[in-house]
Amino acid sequence: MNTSATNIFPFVSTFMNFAYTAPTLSASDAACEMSTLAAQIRASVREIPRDRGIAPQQVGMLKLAMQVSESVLGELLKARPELRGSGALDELSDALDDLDNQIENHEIALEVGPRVAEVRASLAGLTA
Amino acid sequence: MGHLVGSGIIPGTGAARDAKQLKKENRSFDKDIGEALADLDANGSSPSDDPIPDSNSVLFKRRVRNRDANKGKRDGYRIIYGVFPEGIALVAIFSKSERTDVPRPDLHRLLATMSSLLGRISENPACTDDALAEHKSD
Repeated sequence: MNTSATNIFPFVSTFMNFAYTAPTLSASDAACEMSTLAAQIRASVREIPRDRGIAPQQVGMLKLAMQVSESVLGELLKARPELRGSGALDELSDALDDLDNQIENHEIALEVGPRVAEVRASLAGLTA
Repeated sequence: MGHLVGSGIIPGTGAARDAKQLKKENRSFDKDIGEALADLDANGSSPSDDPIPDSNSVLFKRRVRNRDANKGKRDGYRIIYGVFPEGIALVAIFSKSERTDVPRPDLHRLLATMSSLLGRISENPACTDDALAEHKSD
């Protein structure tokens, strides 16, 4: 699977667009944008391999993109509280949750290697 | 092989150190983690657990609610366990910390930087009148 930045990050530019235009959008336009963002994030999550690791730099970029996206959304909801409780917001929150979960899996993959060796050694000692 | 080796937390390992620290900080730790470990012991790995990349389907992650944080699974504990020939053993336990928003001045800087990296931002073609009509009933 190709995991280049172009197919993992398309949602970022849409989110940037959303960040700049959201204050002027009607509630229905904002809902449409949120729904589009949710679909793009879901597509990005599908491009992130579940079994194979990705480069630490990509994990870092994904994490930054998600933090910025969530912060943009937080700012927007402070300014436009009427958008809370909409189906489109739930959809977007769920998509961001999936993205967060996948990023976390890759962060764990980068961190737990030495721990696995430690557990294997302990298990060998316990069952010897 | 679906059963835990011992309690699943092998003494002296990183997971045991994690558990000791988290127990100090969270009153309901034993209950929350105990239930998850009992489930792992009874049922083994669940299809809803996430495989950890690059682990050859040996390591999995389970998200567990932290009652003390009074939040959903997203902000709860993470149990990283291995399915080894000897049985299931925990490799790490941690508590997902609360998300911290990027401060507004930093956010504006980051938006500007990302925008320039990504080039000109185009209008979203999906938001046509037809697409909008579907959301007007929300």
